Amino acid sequence: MKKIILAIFVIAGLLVSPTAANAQAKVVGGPLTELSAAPTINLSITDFPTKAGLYFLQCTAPTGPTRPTTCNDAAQLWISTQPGANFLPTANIVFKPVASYKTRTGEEIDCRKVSCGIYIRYDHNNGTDFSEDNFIALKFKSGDNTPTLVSDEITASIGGVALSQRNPITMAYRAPGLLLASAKSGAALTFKSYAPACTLVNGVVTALKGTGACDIGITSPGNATYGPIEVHFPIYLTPGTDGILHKAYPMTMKIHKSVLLKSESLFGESLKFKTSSKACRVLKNKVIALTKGECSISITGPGVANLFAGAKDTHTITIQ
Amino acid sequence: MRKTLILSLLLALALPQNSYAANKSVTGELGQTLTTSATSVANNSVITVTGKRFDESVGIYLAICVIPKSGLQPTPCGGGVNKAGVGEGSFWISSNPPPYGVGLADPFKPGGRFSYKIRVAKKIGKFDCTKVKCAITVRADHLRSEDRSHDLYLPITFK
Repeated sequence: MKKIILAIFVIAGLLVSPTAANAQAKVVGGPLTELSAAPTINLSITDFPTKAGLYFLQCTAPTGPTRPTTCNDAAQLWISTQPGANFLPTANIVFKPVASYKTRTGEEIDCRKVSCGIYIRYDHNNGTDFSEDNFIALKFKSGDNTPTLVSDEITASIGGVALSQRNPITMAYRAPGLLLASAKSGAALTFKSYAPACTLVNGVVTALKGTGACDIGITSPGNATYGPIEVHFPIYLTPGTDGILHKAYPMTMKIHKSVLLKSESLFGESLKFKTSSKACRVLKNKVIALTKGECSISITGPGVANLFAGAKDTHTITIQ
Repeated sequence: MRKTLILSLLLALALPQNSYAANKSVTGELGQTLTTSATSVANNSVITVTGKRFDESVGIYLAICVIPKSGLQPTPCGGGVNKAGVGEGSFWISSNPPPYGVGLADPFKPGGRFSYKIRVAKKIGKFDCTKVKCAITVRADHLRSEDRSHDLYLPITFK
């Protein structure tokens, strides 16, 4: 008897279509019909599941119990509270599908001719659980003779490190990195930092925190050959390291003279100075040149948890 | 005699400290510190106010405000947006302002720091800081105007 019940459950499970929305998450928004070739759809979620995050993908409508595979790589969102997600569950979610796209295998999909929509599923943290699988149909305007374009491709790097949409790079607090990017179309790109933990000024990305994540968005308008695309590159943040500016300290001193050293680190912390050199003596931040020779001063400063490690450096002054 | 001395010392420690107009520095929940060069000030005098270890991802306003009831937004505040330096009473500090704020807001220095000279006036609108309590105030900017977790007050008195 138990076996029969189990068998019924297994068969029933297999027959559950991904479109059979028993999903806990309720997604509302629009527009969903009469869509232009590259619309912007605003969505919001209530009853977000607690087990894991969700993926939103533009795919063709699933035809059986299996998950759709003919999806648009350029129209995917990760909704989660985890670092690197495109949107928080509570955010206004901006989804940008297109009327036609090319799948990973090169198959051309025209959503004016086949059924497409937003396919929703659990993220990689609960990937085998189908209970949140859902499909919201989208209707694109027919008669729109916009040619089928392959989405533009963007490659980018920060500080010479290649960016990836799936594997976030790391950046340290206040260690600026130059953002360089190009598109296959050659179109002019626009850039935006979507997280307040990173600034993007004059092409330079700077982390303002030592933990958490940032999201750099790069948009290409495309051209006659390539369709428009916006890609998001997640960045994980790590604590930085405080230091000193050696240029602010003297390189030479005259014997019997004294000098006050800059007592603040690059991040504004109070520095401590010590020396074991016989050529000089250090009292707080005052250096007194005693005899000719090298005066090696060790410089330390406090760190701040989860933001930066304290300064630890040595500065040498030649006593003449 | 010794007992009396010890008792006096203990009493002094036990009594609530009148920090009003005495503390030149205040530390917030996140370890951020706001410091002023003076808390007892003359009308129209200039004081130096510095900040350290502020959360650089959150924009703030620095101004002289009337101290509100606990938990309420500090208001009214003196001054306007100041790009000139000396002579005004309000500053917007943000490393990541919205597009319209670029050029208006000053970014934090590394380490969540800032330093400004503020001209303090005893009148904030119709309020007179010799009659109501006023303070050097930090609050989250208008992007988080309801967020009270960034509020810091350094009360000032006018001579």
